[in-house]
Amino acid sequence: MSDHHDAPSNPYLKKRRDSGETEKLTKRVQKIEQLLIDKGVVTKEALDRIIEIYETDIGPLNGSQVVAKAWADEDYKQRLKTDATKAIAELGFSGLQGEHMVVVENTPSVHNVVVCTLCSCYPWPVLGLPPKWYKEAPYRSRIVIEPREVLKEFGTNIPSATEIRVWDSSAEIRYMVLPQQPNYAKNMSEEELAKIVTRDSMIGVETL
Amino acid sequence: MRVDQKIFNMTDVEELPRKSGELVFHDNWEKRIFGMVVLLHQQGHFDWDEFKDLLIEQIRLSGETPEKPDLAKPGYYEFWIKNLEQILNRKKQTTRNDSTRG
Repeated sequence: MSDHHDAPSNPYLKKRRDSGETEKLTKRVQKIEQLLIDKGVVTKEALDRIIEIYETDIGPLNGSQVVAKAWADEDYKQRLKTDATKAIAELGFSGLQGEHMVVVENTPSVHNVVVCTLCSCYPWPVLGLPPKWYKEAPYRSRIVIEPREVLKEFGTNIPSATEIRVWDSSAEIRYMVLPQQPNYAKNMSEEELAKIVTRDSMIGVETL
Repeated sequence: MRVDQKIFNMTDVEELPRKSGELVFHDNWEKRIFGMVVLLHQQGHFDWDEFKDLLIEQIRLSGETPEKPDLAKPGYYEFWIKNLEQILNRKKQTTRNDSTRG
């Protein structure tokens, strides 16, 4: 298990699609791209740039900095709980899908987990783009019906005395979970703390 | 071999896995459609809500449920293709109507 700590076994991964299907989709997308370039609406360079930003600059490492700061700085944590969008912007993270942020804090008595049942709303500026399983129907509907069971399938056992709250991002609001700071991390620096925060812990399917 | 190393060694994947060992995009076409949608939105061609509402509708119409998972379906980003095609067709229609009126 420790060997796979960074890659929890995931029951919601589908098999990859076959190459014929991929080719068809590739052609369809190429057709749109060519049309937009021919008409001068976009350039290939602008497209490459935006993809690069989302692949490399925007990701869960941003969110882990937010969590680390909240753990290290009680005032910041309060600001984060009061107005998350503003507190997150203090660290320079904002933009598309980062509006109307709400941060929910895990405690010994409450565990929070996030989903978007209708589509796949997800706080891009802090968590990057959603993982595949987050976008699939099984997670989207089952986490609401039987959260404890689904979390177990992710390898996360929540004590029966702990209440599980499921937050649905459908209504304009994007949620992020503030995980509990593990005991072993009590004396770490903010920089060290940021390294132990995982994306899945900020979605709420993992505890640290 | 670790899962992330396996992913790293896959030849058809350009991007390194994220911390959790999963990829942001699985195929190149997913990157391109994602880039186009975000860029066109940033350029003001449509509101994000317009895109999101269409997405919700597409997902609802697909009828996929946990009891009835469709493994053959490429999933999420294919909805993005359909969405963008619809938005572009609608714009083409509007432009055509405008020019015939004018």
